[in-house]
Amino acid sequence: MPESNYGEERVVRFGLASRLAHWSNAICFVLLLVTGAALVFPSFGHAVGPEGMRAFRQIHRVVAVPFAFLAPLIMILGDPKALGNWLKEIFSWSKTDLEFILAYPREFFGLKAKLPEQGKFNAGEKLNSLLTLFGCLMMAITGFIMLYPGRFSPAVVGWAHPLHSLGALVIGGVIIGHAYLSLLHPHSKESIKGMIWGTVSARFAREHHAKWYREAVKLRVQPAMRPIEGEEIDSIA
Amino acid sequence: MLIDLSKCVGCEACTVNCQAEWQLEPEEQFTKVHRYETGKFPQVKGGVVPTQCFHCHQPPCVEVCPTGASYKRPDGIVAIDEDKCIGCCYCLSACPYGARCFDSSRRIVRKCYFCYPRIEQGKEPACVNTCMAGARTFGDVDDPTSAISKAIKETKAVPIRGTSIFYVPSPHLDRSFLPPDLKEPGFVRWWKGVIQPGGKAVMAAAAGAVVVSLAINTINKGGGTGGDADARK
Ligand code: SF4
Ligand code: SF4
Repeated sequence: MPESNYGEERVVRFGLASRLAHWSNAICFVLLLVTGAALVFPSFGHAVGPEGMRAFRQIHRVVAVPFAFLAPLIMILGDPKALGNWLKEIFSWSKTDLEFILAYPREFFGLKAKLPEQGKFNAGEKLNSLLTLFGCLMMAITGFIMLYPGRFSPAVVGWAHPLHSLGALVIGGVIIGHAYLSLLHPHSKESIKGMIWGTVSARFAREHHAKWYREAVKLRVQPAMRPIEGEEIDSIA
Repeated sequence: MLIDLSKCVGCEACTVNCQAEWQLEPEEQFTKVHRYETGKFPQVKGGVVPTQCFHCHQPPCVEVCPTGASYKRPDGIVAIDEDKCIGCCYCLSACPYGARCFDSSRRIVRKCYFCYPRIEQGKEPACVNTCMAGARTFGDVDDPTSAISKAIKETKAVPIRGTSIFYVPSPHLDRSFLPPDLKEPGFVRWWKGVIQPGGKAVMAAAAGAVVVSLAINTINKGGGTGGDADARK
């Protein structure tokens, strides 16, 4: 198959459910991060004042509910297959993943880097997924403890506070990097289109997710296996 | 403050008068009277130990308060600026003595203030004033000529170290029934000393890396190499 055919072509990367879940999680998290940050950064807290912080507290408590339940619900009801594949991918690590992580800092800073071929999610995205998954779990659990301190022993409540703030700061850092890579980094900003429209350019898929791209092409060229419009393609690794 | 347990009769007048002074809900108590029993029947002995905010010298509650609502006054009284308090309850779990209570109607945290508005008027705290047994003495322990300093010496009162409270032990209860010396809870140390600075460093490192990367990529682009990885030097 001549490569030029795919120059402007697009490959489906994320189905509707995955995108909705991603954005529900993203919006909730950013709201929670902003409303919670007033407690961690005194100058920010000072700027919004006590009234603002009380309002933040209210927003924080309300948004916590969709944060904890909406995204998992969308995935479980909307596209359990994509959820399963995502979970399977982010928990399977090989030597090439490690090579990717080690080589990636050069790529990040715009230096020449030799990156091993990647599947649907590269090792960095897998790491991001894992941190988000476990981070969100920890935030939900410690948050629940803080919401109902009467049900837990004082020591448990005491430890929930610092863990909650540690989790927020670490995931906050991860999100900064994640948002930068998908929106601004010249090499990877094509990926935001995958999360908005569901598709990425064939060229991006080929250059960044070669293993997955080959599977996607295989599905395309065999009409019997052609994916239904909008359905997520997962690498059959 | 000095609390003489050999005089305290456990009538809880202090609790009630304090509630009236500060207009507390029935379930809110700035000072509580704990009751203990020791020994085996028939030789049972009982005793009472009133507690309240210990006005710690280095209060963990102030340490964790994110708004500065909890603060230590120059005179040593640990107070709460109720307009600044947002009811996050961090202080509630940091206080080793369970001295703070949540005001559910105003959604803020409150506790014993040593009645500083009364003190400023030259009066005694409400609990001291109302104690008919004369078990409570309030004053400046740093001033050796004050009544409380003399009373502490006379009665050989036990200081609760790290705090502003002294007890004369009850004849019925040994010293182990007194509240322990102040020990900052472990999580407070970790929280303020390690976890938050560390977390902030992670976030700052991420932001810094993004800025550097952005700068390098912009300069490279300006150099005309374009966005393609292979075209890079
Ligand atoms: S006893 Fe509790 S509330 Fe009072 S100063 Fe100490 S830590 Fe703060
Ligand atoms: S509840 Fe009020 S006094 Fe206590 S830590 Fe939060 S803001 Fe400070």
